[in-house]
Formats: sequence, structure tokens, C-alpha cells
Amino acid sequence: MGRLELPCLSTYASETYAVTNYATCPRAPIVSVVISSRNDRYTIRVHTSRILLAILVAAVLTIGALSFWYLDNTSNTQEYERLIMRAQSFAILFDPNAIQQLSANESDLFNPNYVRIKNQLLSLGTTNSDLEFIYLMGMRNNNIVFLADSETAESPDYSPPGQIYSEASEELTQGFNRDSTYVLEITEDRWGEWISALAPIRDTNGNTLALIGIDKNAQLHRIQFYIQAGLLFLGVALILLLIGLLQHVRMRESEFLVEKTDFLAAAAHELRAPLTSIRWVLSKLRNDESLSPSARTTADEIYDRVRGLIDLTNTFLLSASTDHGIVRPEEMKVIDSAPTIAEAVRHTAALAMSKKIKIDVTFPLNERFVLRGDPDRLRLVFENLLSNAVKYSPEGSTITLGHEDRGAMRIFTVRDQGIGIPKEDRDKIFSGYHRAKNAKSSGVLGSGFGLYMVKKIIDLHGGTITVEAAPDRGTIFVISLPAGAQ
Amino acid sequence: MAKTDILIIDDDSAMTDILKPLLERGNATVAVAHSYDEGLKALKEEPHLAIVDVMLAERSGISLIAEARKEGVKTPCIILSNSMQTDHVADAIEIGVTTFLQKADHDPEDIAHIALERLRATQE
Repeated sequence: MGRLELPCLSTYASETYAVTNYATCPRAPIVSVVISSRNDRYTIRVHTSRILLAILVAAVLTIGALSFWYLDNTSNTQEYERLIMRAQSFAILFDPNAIQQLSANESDLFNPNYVRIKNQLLSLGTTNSDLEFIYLMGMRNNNIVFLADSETAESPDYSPPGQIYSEASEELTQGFNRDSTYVLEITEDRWGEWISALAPIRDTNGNTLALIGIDKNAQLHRIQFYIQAGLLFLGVALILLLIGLLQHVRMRESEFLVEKTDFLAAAAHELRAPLTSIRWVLSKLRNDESLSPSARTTADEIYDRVRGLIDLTNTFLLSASTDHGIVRPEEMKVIDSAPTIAEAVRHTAALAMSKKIKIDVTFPLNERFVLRGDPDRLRLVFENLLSNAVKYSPEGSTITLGHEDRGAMRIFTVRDQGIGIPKEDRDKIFSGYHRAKNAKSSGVLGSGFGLYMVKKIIDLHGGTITVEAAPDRGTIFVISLPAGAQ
Repeated sequence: MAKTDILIIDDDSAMTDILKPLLERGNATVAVAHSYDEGLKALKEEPHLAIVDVMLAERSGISLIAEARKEGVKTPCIILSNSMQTDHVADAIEIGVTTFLQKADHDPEDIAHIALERLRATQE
């Protein structure tokens, strides 16, 4: 539904009461937050299951290390394969006859074959700038020698034709065998640390005339990998951070809502005692027979308004207590909902009359509609829905109350012909403090709070509430509540 | 001395002043206690019915009834509350109290009516 439920709910403890009131819900397995309030001071306690948290962290680190190791390996393997293929593709470019004409000594510098091969290597060098060296190697007197390379003569790394490669490994030597198709080495020599791939250039008889080698700076490759891996992990970390932030924001929203409702409950609580006094004294006044009819009317009006204020405090108190889960299902009893609904209709009738709105109850209220629940809270549900319907309906329209008996559940519907609820707002209106755009601009006063409480009460009763658009215009609220056994 | 019909235990005298005459109109003899200690003492004399406020100054009306019960007092009790905190209900049920009324949600006449009905029930 978009609203994140806190793992544990908050409490309302007051010093003036000998009995303290704690409600807890199942604790989240790894982290749970308990917010408790005592005389306007809020404390937050965070409980963690340390063992589970430690296991989680260890698991994340292990997976991280394993994936790093795996990526390292695969990236290396891919890199090696690519290098080998490139060496093999370069090998095809060279004319074996020209290579056969090389003497592997200083005289090659004037040999047109050497010059041509040298130019080929130079141009390969420029077009493959990621390769540090490209060179031809040959075998002379059981020594591996450089035949030509891609370095210009001025370069410090230039190898003249015939230069003996004394650091040649066994593997490199084996590369000259007939059946060898490539050599791959990671070496350290006087020029640095290299990944080298060499491919044979053969004559028509299949003898290896030379090896063409390409060198890639191993460190460069490693740095490239670290950068890639680093960026990947950074990306993942950022995503996790964003998710964490979103959760945090949502939790703060929830916390704020709970704090706000707790505060309202505390305020409402303080108001109940003085309001009760006023109500009782007024009640006494109304029963005074010496009152003149006009005085009696006045007293009645005041009485109604005081009742309205008390109902308001009930609303705030109930929302907090429903958040705390104080209403325990086992406390609900089997009730006849007809009088509850009748009371709610009576309560709204005066308001409706002033707008010439008709409330149509399509089922007989003198029959029994047995429910399992709390009559006061259910009355609040219907009062809220009905008064909303009246508030947002135009003059002269009709509000229809319907009922359907579906065995284990009872379905009640409240339908109005009012401004309706836009589709995008329909699941948000129950979330507390949300008002649909058209409601805000309708000029009707409202906090968006009532429906939140309505849904909470219905949830606690084990029922459901949904809202849909009426076919012509207006809204239909559909409430389903568990029927009590007759 | 005849036992009191109804004992009201509430530290708010404004409330008891309104409730008492309503009960007396129903032909009940009414005694009033304005504190925990006064109330406990009066309850131990076993009136026919007691109306007890859940909060008496800083002390709990429910624990008052519990204390009296421990001494064997069997007087049926109605608890008046104003907080809607239903954990009181659980505590009250544990000590055998089953009528629990919110002062703000009833006119004093309603409460008197309920009390007089309970009284009549105990006398049958």
C-alpha cells in the first residue's frame, strides 16, 4: 500500500496512570525500533539481534570477496583470449618468404624485406596503441632473437635485429614447435611487467619461421580491472544507499505519523475530562423543568456541540489506540450493528438536512445484522464515511447505504453522488493526512485523517475497506466485516 | 445500620453532586467517598453496588477494588473511566468487574439508569 509499517509500534505511557500500557507487535528479525513516549518525551530504542546481524555482515563480505575473485579470474581469461586472437590475426599479415630472407643481424637494416616488415610493425604499433610492443622473434643457433620490433631506432626500448632475448622462458622456446598455436606469458623482464601473446608464422611446410608477439602492460590491465570493479561496487553501493535512504525516509514518515497521532491522543485525552464536566452539567440543566422552551433549545444546541467535541476527542484517541493495537480482537463481542448504523445515520442526518441531502438506507434497520466488533468504534466508522459523503456531495443529492449478507462476512456500502475520488488517489486516501487534489480544491475542510482511522478500525475487526468510482458520478465505499454467529 | 444501596467513589465532587440525586430519585440510598482511603473503608462495609472512578487522585480505582476483593468484599462494581485505554478493561475483568463506562460518552442519567438496573439485578 505504499506505507511502511514500523516493525514495532509505539507506546503511550502516562505517569498519572498506575497501569502502563505497552503494545508490541512481532519484532523484525534483525532490527526493530521501539518508540515510547512519557509525558511528551520520546525515546527510541533500537534492538538488534546481534548474532543475525553478524551473520548478515559476514555473508555480505564473503559474497563480496568471492565475486571479486571470480570477476578477476574471468576478466583475466577474457583478456588473455583476446590477446591470443589478436596475435594470431597479426600473424596472417606477414609474408613468410620475407621472413625467411631475414639474417637476424645488422645487415638486415638494408634488407628491403626487413624494411617492409619493420613498416608493418610500426603501423600495427600506431593503430594498436594499447599494445606496448609488437615484435617478431626467431630462433638462431638455439637462441631466441628479435628479428624486428615496432619501436623506432631513437626509442630506448628498441631492439636491433638479432638481439638475443636472454630472458626467454621454456614456454617461449616451446612456442616454436610445429603443433604450438600460441604462447601466453605473464613475465617480468628488463622492460617491465607484461602479458605477452605470441602466435607462430609458418612456412608452407608447417615449420615455424617466427613468432609474432604482442605485449600488454600487465599493470595497466590490472589498473583497468580495478577501476572497472571499483566502479561496479560503487554503483551497487550507491543503489543500496538509495534504497536505505528511501526506507529511512519512509520510516521517518511512519514515525512522524505515530508521533503526531500520539500527540493528538494526548491532547484529546486532556480535553475529555473538562468536556465531560460540561456535558454532565448541561445534562442536568436540560432536565431542569423550570427551563423556558427557548432556554431549553439553547441548552440542547450547546449539548449537541459538546457531544461533537467529545466525538472529536474520541476520533483522535481511537486513532492512536488503534495504532497501538490496544483494541484486542478477543475484546470484541457479538453485536447487533443495526442500532450502531442507525445512530451513525441519525448523527449525520442534521448535517445532511442542511444541504438537502437525502440519506437512503436500503436495508431494514429494524432487523438484526450481527457483527463481531466494538460498537463505538464501528459507529465512528459509519459516521465518518457518512459525514464525508455529505461534505463532498452537492445539494439535493442522495447518499445510499447498502447491505449484503455473504455468510461469513457482511458487506456494507456507502455511495454518494459527490465529487468522486481520482484513480491515483484511491489507495492513498487511507494512508493518513492525504487528501485527493479535488478534495483540497473543493473548499471542504478536512485533514485526511478520518479515513486512516476508519481503515485501522476495520483492519482490527478483520474486515476490509475498498473504494471505487460510482458508475455515474460519485464514490462507493465497500466495507466488509466478519459476521458474528447468530 | 442498613447497608448502603449504592456507593460512589470519585474524587471529583462536581460529578458526584450530579450523580447522587439521580440515583436517589431511583429510590436508592447513596453514599459518597472522595478519596482512595475513604472509598476503600466505605467499600469494606459491602454496599449493594459500587460506582468507582478508575482514577482517584494518583491512585487506581481498580487496585482499590482488588484490595477490597482480597478482604472478601463481593460488592458488584461499575467502573467509570475517561481515557479509552482498554488495558484497564483487562485489569477490571480480572477482578470480576464487567461494567465499564466512559463518562464522556454518557449522560449522567444513563449512568444512573445503568446503575439502578444493576442494583435491581443484585436484589433478585
